[in-house]
Amino acid sequence: MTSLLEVSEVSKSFDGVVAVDGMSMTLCERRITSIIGPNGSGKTTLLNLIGGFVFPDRGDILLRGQRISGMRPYRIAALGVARTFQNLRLLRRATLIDNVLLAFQHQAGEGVFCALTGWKTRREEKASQATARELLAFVGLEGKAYELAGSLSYGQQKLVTLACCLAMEADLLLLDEPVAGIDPEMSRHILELLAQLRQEGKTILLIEHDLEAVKAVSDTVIVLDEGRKIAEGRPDKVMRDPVVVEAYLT
Amino acid sequence: MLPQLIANSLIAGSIIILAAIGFGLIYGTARFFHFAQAATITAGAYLTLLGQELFSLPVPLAAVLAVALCGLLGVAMDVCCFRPLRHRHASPLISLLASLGLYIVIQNVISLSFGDNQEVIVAGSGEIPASLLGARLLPVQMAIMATSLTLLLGVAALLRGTRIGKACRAVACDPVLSRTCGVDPDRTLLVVFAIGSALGGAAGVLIALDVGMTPQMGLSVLLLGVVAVIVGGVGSFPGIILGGLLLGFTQHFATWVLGAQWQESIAFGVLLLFLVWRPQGWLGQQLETTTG
Amino acid sequence: MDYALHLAIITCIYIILSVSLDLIAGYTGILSLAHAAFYGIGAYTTALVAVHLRLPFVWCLAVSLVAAMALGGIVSAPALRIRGDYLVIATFGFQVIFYHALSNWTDFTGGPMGVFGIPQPTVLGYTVTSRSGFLLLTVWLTGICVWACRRLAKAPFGRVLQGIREDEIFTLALGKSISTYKVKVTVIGAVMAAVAGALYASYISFIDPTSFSIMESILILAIVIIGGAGTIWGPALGACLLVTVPELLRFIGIPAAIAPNLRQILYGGLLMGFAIWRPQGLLGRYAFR
Repeated sequence: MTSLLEVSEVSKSFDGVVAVDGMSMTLCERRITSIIGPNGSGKTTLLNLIGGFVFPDRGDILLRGQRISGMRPYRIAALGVARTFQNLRLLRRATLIDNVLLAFQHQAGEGVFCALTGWKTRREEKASQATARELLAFVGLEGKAYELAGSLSYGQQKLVTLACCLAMEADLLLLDEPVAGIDPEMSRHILELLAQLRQEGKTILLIEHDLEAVKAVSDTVIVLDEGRKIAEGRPDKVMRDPVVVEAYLT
Repeated sequence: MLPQLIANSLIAGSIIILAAIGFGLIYGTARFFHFAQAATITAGAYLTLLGQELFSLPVPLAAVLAVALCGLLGVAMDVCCFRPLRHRHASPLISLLASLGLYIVIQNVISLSFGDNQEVIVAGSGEIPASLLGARLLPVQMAIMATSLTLLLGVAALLRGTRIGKACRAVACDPVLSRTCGVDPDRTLLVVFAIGSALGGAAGVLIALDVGMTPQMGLSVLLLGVVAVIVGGVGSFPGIILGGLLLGFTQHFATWVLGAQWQESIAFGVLLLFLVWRPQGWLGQQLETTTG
Repeated sequence: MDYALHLAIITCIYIILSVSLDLIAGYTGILSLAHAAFYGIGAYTTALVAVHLRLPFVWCLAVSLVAAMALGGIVSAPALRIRGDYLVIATFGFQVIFYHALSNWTDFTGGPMGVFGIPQPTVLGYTVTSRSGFLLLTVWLTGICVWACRRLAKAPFGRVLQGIREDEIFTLALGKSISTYKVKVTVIGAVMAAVAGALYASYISFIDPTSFSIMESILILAIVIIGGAGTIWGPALGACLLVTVPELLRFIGIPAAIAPNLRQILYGGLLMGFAIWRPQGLLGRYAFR
């Protein structure tokens, strides 16, 4: 059970308000870890800290032993960390396939020279298109590949962002509320996909409010309250913990 | 030397503040850069000239009428141009572009009507400078400072105390939501454009009385006002005063050192410094900055 | 016939200006009002090198491109920190400072008097003396610029640019260094605008600061919006229409003195009209955001 991500005594405050307070956790590979907690408990801030969108005041974050706290988001992403956003960020005026194509890493055509001359790009673009269609098929959206992302339903848009994460060939997926606001059938579909991704070797850290979903798919649950970890362990054990129950009900 | 420099800086600062208030009011409520305010400022000056030369009106009367007409011009701009954009949920950038287009049209109409040469409004009795604390001030210059301060305080009081002020703040936050609180964004913005444009016209008249006017004057003046608003902080009246005075002083002291032709460049240099270092200005609210 | 050639040359110059701005504004979403500064630095560098050093055109162009790269790098700096309408103001600021530098740095740039006596361009030993010869040179350079813009736009590079325009944070999270792309696209746009400037200076043989003012920047941006931002072909079409149509005003008896004002009123009115009723321009698909 190798550890992929290590968060060590990380703290972050915004204008004097403490968002995350001395948080430590270890993510093991090929595991799905869920973070739950009341609103304002620091969950999204934690994801932002890991992703590099926010720098910690104190503490370290290590990815495979390499210090990533303080790195810009695009460099952390290039190391194999993909994320989705709570307010569902994607390119609504682009097609699904363009969204996924954007997510591929180190495309030769992203450089000016190759873009102008076509060196390496033609072959690469064909291969990328094929892979993008496969990824859309994996999430069940192949039929809509050439439609605009903005025309899809909320749940389908979430699937697109998942496909983008996969296009990044990331080992670590940070998913912010992947099934929030979605009907039960779509929710089940997404959770099945996550389980399948775990089988394929991905490590997933997700934030959720839907406790049934969390129980169904997680190996480990971490509970945050006011920026601090108050419980960690298997889902059924954690959810019966009186400390957790009190935090959620008060 | 120094008292004159300070006096000149205060006068310049007052003019900048006057240009800034109208712009700041509109930007604060409508939430886009209304460049056509430059045309309104120019219109204020030229309408006064028109009143004086064509209708032989005394300057104060011509000025008041011109300011009122500028208010109406602002209303026309809102009704014809910016209200349709609002109803189409246009982004601030589109509104900015429309405002730029409007500026070009109006400025060129003024150019065609009056020519591009510098004009002056002959005010009559105001040529004898008074001496104040070692500096020489023309009556019109004192009038500029007094008017500037009065208008600023007036608008600040209006926004702080009255219902229209609260309405402005509601519309600035969220025009759609403000409807649910009983605030009509279209009516509020109409009033804002009227007052803001009238203030712009007033600025134009006073500048014309001080240094004369050309059809391009509005843009230079407005840009200084924009710099003052950004430096002082959007949404903050003390900020506008601070920004205007800072700019006035910086310009005049730098002119003393470098020469008058670099005035505008210095103003923009200050602006760029603030935009990169402290985009929310000295006293203003947080802006969205990129994370890169 | 001579007049038609003249019109064609000016149209090509504006095609280069508008497609290069389309990369910056239309594709990346950086609404830049500094494009006339890039145009100007190309024109002035070419003019000064040609007049004082008497070098062939290709060397004048090369020095202009280097100068444009430097200016492009500087102008791209605010885009790394601020967005939206504040960024527009920052580019406005750069443009105004550049214009004043041109007007006031008299020892270097000739000040308001400008630079005159710019020699006709010498390409591969052959001096271009005829208008049709110059048109050939212009069309060739225009073709290269349009081709380059199109290729960049269609490549993954262009995809990233559009990603920056649509949702910067999303694009950042996908591992793209958005700052790098912003600098690159601004520099590329600047370099192409400088090519247009070099052509203009060599063609007109006399330049002064008034051709490179903020008004010029606004007009180039108007062409991009009216033509259709984010399409390359749109701004090219916009340039063709907006350069030729005002010239036709002459043929209906409009006196030459007021023609420039009317031309600007046309541009301003169209910009306003398109912004309100058709923000996607003539050929665009989406409204400019």
